[in-house]
Amino acid sequence: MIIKKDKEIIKSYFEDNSGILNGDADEVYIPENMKECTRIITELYKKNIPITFSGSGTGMTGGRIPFKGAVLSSERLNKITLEQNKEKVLLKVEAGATLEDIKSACSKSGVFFPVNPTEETATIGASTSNNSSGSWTYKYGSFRNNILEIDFVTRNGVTLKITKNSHRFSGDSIFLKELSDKPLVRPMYTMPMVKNAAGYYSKKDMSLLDLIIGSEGTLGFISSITLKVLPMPKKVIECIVFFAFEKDAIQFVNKTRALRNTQNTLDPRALEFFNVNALKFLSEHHSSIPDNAKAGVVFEHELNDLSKEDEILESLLKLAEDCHAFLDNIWMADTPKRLEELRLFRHSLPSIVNEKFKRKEFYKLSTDSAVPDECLSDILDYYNYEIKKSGLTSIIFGHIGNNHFHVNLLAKKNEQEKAKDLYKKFMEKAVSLGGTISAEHGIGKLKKKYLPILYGQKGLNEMKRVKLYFDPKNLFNSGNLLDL
Amino acid sequence: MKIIVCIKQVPNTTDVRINPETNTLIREGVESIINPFDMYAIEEAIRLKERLQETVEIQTLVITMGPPQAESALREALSMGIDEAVLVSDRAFAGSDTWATSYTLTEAIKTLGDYLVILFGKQASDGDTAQVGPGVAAHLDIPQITFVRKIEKMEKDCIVAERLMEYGYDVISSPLPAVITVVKEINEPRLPSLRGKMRAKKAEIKKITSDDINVEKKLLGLDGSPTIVKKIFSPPKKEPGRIFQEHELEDGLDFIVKTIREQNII
Repeated sequence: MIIKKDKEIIKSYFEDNSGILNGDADEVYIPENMKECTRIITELYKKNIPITFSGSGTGMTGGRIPFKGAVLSSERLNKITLEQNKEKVLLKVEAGATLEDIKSACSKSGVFFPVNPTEETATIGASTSNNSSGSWTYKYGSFRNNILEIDFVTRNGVTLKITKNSHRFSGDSIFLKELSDKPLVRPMYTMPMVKNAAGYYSKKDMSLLDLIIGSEGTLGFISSITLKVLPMPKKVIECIVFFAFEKDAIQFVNKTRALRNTQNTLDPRALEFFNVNALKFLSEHHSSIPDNAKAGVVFEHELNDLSKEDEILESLLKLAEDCHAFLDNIWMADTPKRLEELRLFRHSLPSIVNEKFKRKEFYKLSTDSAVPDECLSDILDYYNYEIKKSGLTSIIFGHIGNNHFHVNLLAKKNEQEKAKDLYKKFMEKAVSLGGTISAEHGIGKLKKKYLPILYGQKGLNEMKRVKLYFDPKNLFNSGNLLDL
Repeated sequence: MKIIVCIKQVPNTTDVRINPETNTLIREGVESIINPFDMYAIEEAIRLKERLQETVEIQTLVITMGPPQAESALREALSMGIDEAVLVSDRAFAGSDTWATSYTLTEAIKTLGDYLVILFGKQASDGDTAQVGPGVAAHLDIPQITFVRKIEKMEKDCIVAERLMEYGYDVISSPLPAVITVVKEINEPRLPSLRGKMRAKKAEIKKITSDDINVEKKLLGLDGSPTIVKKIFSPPKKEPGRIFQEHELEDGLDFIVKTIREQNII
């Protein structure tokens, strides 16, 4: 075990992408194997020392930022085992392995892990704790949908091996004899039926696995994870379709989704969106964006049967035509080099915004809400209307397939309060439409004050009850999700 | 009238590895791409057509000399918006150096009819010679403007272009037809379009072999190549530089003086 105490050295553990600056802790523990890891968790817990579990600091909401006590970093727990038998491939990784690590391990075996958060240096443990997702979530769901088993270290040093079926709630409760002689009762709220990363998962007869995934380290430590992997597709096609009107882009997405429910060949893995201002920002670096484009949709499709390629391209072109897209200007990539070019293009937007943000041109707030499919048009109309009314600069982009947008409100110094009000209003609107306040970034420390919008005070009290069942002293990732 | 673009298929350079025993390129698993500099030539051809099509009828044509698999590079160019593609391919061309390549390409180009300009990327990312473009101009005995960063004016029989120089640029006017080699400052190549891809998949690619062109067989391929490659090797790894901090100033100066002396520079 490596133990670091020098503040100058450990201060890097007090940061992530949330912008929270007042993190602090006395020491950082870096276990080098599971035995050390379990031991230190138990010891610290006995001594009443708060423990903040730390990944690589790519989080957006301050989940890994400590305020006191100790940090437990998973950086040395990064073993990856890929077992291949005739039937399937099993990918078991320790918490500190990163997305990059598993990508390279998988590619050697011709498989891939179908969740693709943008930050590839993120650790699998942290991404599991956060129920992270990415553009492919449209087809494959989030981390929660792609985890087969976890090892979960509890406060008393017991490691529970949890699969979908090993620990199931009976109705609303479950007995976990390792932790208490009383049953654990789930929060009784109804979760929004959308892509969601806000608060504890809760459903009748649910699996304990689903509760632990997305609990942001507040219940214990996820030390290792077995992931679902799939055979690598033979080919991937990615297109960017441009439109003269935003409503045409919405129609394109709605029609594509409607086709998915029929026997049609079109079944994209990602549908992403850029609004007019996002395209304007991108135009500063990419002159080939059509001048009069008011919206762009990224369409990504896997091909396992190459003989279907023509059919897919023709269906896509027909769909684009029906929705009045710029037909001669649909960008297409289908080779590794071109796909990489498009990936860089898409990811350049947040960097362009962050660069301006860093140069202090403005203060930035980024929403993370998703709403149900039928509200796609309503929520965009609402955002556009309110933004126009406020006079704030903004860009809207994100995972339109999941009705999940990142509205970036870019406020000048004197506009900050206005931006904060609007930010909250957007969350309230999303929830009123049956959506969530966070679809992928999680709640952490940054967004917990908004959690009552979603679950009410009663829901929060029920979450507290769950928290205290696992962690009666409130030592694990204290300050995430809840104030106790 | 045609605008011709000559392209080359090359290994994606970020992946290039050399087998230390045989000193040859490891090609397995390495993606083949259009030489990045040629992408600018393709884009410029499409833009010139867009610029000129109101006054002259223009057909853009892409041509490459290479093995049969170079067809994928031609289809990529078609998917960006080039009208026609020609593959110059024959076992007899194998092993051509830049002289034999320019000679063969020239004879192939002579069969294609009238053209206004022949565009090249300034050089290929694998060989880095920058010789084939000028070679073709010499064989055809037409003018050439190399390292072009902007085509200011182009009419039926004359072109004015800016040639990038180390400090600034030259403005050069030339009669047409001419050979132009372009640098990356000239434009931003577009991505292929969906329609272009669909068209390119079905397009017919004209094939030219040694029998289709008027060449002396002994001037083709390895036999016709005056260049002899003696050895290919990976350059030795450079030692990283040393950085001395402010408090190490004395040590740093001593080190510099000592090194200069050792190397007999002074």
